[in-house]
Amino acid sequence: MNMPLRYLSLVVLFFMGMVACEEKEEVATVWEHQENIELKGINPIGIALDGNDIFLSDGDHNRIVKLSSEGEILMEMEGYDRPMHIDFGEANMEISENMSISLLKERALFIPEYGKDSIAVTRDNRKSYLVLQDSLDAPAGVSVYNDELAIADFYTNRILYYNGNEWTSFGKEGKAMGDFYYPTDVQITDEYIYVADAYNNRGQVFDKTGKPLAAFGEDQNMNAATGIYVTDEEIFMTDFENDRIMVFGMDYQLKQVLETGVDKPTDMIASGDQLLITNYRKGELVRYKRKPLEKE
Amino acid sequence: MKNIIILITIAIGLTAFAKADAQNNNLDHFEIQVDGLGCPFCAYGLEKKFKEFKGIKNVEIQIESGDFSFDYPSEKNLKMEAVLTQVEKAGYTPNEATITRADGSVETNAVDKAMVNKDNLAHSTLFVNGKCGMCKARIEKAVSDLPGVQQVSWDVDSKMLKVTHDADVTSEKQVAAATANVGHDTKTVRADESVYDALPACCHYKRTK
Repeated sequence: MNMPLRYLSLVVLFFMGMVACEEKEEVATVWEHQENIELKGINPIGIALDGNDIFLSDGDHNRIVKLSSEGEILMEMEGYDRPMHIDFGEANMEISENMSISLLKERALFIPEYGKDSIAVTRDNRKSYLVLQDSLDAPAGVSVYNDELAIADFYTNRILYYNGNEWTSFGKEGKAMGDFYYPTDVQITDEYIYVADAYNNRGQVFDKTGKPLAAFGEDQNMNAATGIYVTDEEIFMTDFENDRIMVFGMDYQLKQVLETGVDKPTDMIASGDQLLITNYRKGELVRYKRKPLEKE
Repeated sequence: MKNIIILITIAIGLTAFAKADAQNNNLDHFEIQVDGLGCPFCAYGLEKKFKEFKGIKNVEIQIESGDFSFDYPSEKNLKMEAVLTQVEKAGYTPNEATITRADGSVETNAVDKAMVNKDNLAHSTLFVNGKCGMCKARIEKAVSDLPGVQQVSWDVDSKMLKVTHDADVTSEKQVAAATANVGHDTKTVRADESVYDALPACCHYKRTK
């Protein structure tokens, strides 16, 4: 190696070292309550984001509502039979529309219709339904991740999972690891499938073959863990009856309990430094913001 | 005050209208009080179970109050017992239920309390384990169905049951047995495992050994 190249490689190594050191300096953060936004006439159950727009499923009124970031209603889509935990995504899946079957090839909003035992797929005001070989009984949550899709099926105590090629399902009624007592929400990540095991009052983590890997939150006295949301750093769970959001680290240890402004929460979603929570009974959107933890 | 009177009048009028409407259409009108429907998944589940009754119409559920009502074709002569069983099949405990038949006759499952001897009333307070609004409904129903019981109230937070009863007809021991029979432990009587296990998911309170 000649001299200029040797110097250049030293400089590059030094710079990489600096970056690595900076990455190690993680600042501890906490979530802080910002505001409660009143949603007139909406009882939100599920929440999803599309850019700055907020989509809520309004189960009591059988509709999906699109809101601005300030909570102003921009659009209403009616005719959904008890819509539950919704998700945006683009999955290469068969859908049926007006008796004809086609392949979904665009980003869409997936809406589990609890009262209709089906998953609606909506884009540009067009409604189709997922073609499923299996039958559902009260689907309560759906998650879309790349070409993968998972459904939390309430009454059959199962998770139905599509890996991009084929469907599988796992879970049965019970209290043991891998069992469910009414799953109400699900989220797929790069490696895992997270489930809100609502009336076992816990969260569960599975690999993509359906093998249970962990159960958490059982020691937190939750009462109806109805919603789950996972980021790269945290796992959020709603504790519906106790009016709390439980924030766990990726090691499943409890990091923070959010109670201010939280009242019968059903779902939440994080985006950047913002966390949005749906208060079902009061009809509110609660905004929390991530702040650096102040040292005492 | 005037506003309250107006609101009550409107509410009564609307109920009467609903019943009259049901009668005009040869529909029986059903009203069932199901406490503890706090969670939307539970409430929609109850609604879903009743969809098994083909021909059901005008289903309404007030999640806050637990008031559940629907209309059903009169010629099918849907019985009170079938309705209460269906509520139980969905995992809930029915409280007071009323059927207003299309011909105007009214049926109810309310227990006649005329037997209570008001000169012999005792007040008992006892610990009954449970954890939610559905537990409350179940405990209060089990006790209020006992003969000689005039008033019942169970508090979710303190888990204390207050009963006003004719002590000669129903003893405190019988009250404890009645709550254990529906799955709720007291300090003196423990519910059978199978009954406890059969409680709805959200009612599985922590048992003391």
